[in-house]
Amino acid sequence: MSDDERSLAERAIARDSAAFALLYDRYVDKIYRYILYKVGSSTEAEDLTAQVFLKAWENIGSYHWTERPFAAWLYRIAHNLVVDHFRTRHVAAPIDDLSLEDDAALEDIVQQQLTNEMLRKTIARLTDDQQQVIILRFLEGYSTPEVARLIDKDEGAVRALQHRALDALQRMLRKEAKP
Amino acid sequence: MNDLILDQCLEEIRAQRATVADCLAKYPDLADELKPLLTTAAALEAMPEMQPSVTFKQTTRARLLQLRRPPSRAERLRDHLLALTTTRLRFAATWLALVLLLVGLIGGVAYAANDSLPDSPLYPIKRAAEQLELTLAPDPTSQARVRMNLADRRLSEMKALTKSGQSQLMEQVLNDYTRQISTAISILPPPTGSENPVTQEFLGRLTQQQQELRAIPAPSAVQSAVQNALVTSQKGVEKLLTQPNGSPASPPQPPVPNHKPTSPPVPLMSK
Repeated sequence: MSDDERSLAERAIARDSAAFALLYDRYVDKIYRYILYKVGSSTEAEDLTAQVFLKAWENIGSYHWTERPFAAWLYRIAHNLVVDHFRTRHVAAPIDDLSLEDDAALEDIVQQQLTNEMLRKTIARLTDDQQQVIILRFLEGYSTPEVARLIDKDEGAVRALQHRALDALQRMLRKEAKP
Repeated sequence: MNDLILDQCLEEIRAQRATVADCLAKYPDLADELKPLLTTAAALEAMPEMQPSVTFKQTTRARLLQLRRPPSRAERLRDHLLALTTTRLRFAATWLALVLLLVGLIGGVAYAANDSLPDSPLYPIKRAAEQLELTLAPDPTSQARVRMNLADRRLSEMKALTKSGQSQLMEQVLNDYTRQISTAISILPPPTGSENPVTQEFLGRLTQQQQELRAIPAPSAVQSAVQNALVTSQKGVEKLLTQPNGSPASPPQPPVPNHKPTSPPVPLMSK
C-alpha cells in the first residue's frame, strides 16, 4: 500500500467521507470489472459495485491497513457479495475441467471471435480461485506478487492457479469456436 | 511445465521486453505448451477496459458523500448497550407499574372489605384475606393467635348485625366465632402452666370475649348460638388452666399486657 493510500485509508477510518470518496475514485473501475466478469450483466455489476462501497463505508471501522491492502479488503467484500448474489439466484457453479478433442487454430479464435461476452462466459466457467487470478492478473493488470497479496495466497499458489486457468481458458475457447 | 517459466514469460511480454515468439524461442522444448497459454493471456490483456457508466459513478459517489458518518465500534457498542438498557428499563418499568397498580387495587379492595359485614358483596374478599392470613402464620401459636383475632372480628360483626336485627346472619357469625376459638385452643401447644405468658394471653382474650358476648343484646333467635359460643369459650379457659400433669391451675394473674382481662372468667350461664 502506498503512503498516499495509507493516509487516505487512515482518514477514512477516522470517518472522513472525502478521503473515502478518493479511495472510491481509485478503485471503482477495478471493482466494477472484477464483478462484471463474474456476473455478466453491467446493470447487476453496477448495483453490486455500489453495494461494495456502501458496505465498505459502513464497516470502515473494522478495516486495519496494517493487515492487508485496502484493495484486498474491497475485493474481499466484492467477492462475498458476488457469492451471495449467485446463491440467492441459485446459479450453478462454474465448470472446472473440460475435455477438448477439436484442435482449432487458437490465434484465429482469439483474433476474430473473442468478444467480451464470449470471454466473460468462459471466465465464468472457471473455478472461483482461477477466476480471481485471471481477472486480477490479466484484466486488472496486477503483477503476480500483487495478486498474491490481494487474494491472500503465496506467489507459488498464484502461479499454479494462473497456469491451470490459462490452460482451461484456451481449451474452452477452442470448444466455443467449434462449428 | 514449470509455473515459474510461464509467469516469467508473461511478465517479459507485459513489460514489452519480449514477444511471444521470443519466449517460445527461449524455451523450444516447452513451445507447444507455452504457445496457447501465452496467446490466451495476450488476448485477455488486449481486451478493452470495461468501465461503469459515468452516471453510475457520479451517483454512487454522491450517495457516499451524503451518507452519515458511520459509527465507530465503541459508538456502536455504546448505542447497542443503551438501546438494550432502555428496552429493559422500559419493560421493567411497565411491569412494575402494572404490579403496583394491581397491588394498589387489591390493597384498596381488601381495605374496603375489612369492615364489611356478611351481607356485603365485599365480605368474601374479607374472608379470603383471612384465609391468607392463616396460611401465612408460621407456627401453631401464631395460627392460634390469628384465629383469636378472627374471633374478635366475628364479635364486632355480631355487634354491628344486632343493630339491623338480621338473626340468620348473626347465627352464622356466632357459629364461626365458636369455630375459631375452638380451633385456636385445640392447635395451641400444651401449656407449661398458668404462669406461661402464652397461656395468660389466651386466657385474657377468652375472658374478654366472654364479657363482650354477654353484653351484646342478642335476640332470642340466636341465644342458643350465644350459649354454644360461651360454653366453647369456657371449655377453652378450663383447658388452658389445666396443668400438663392434669391438675387444675390458678386463674390468670397478673393480667396479660394488651389483652388484659377486665374481670376473672365468668361462670357459664345456665340455659
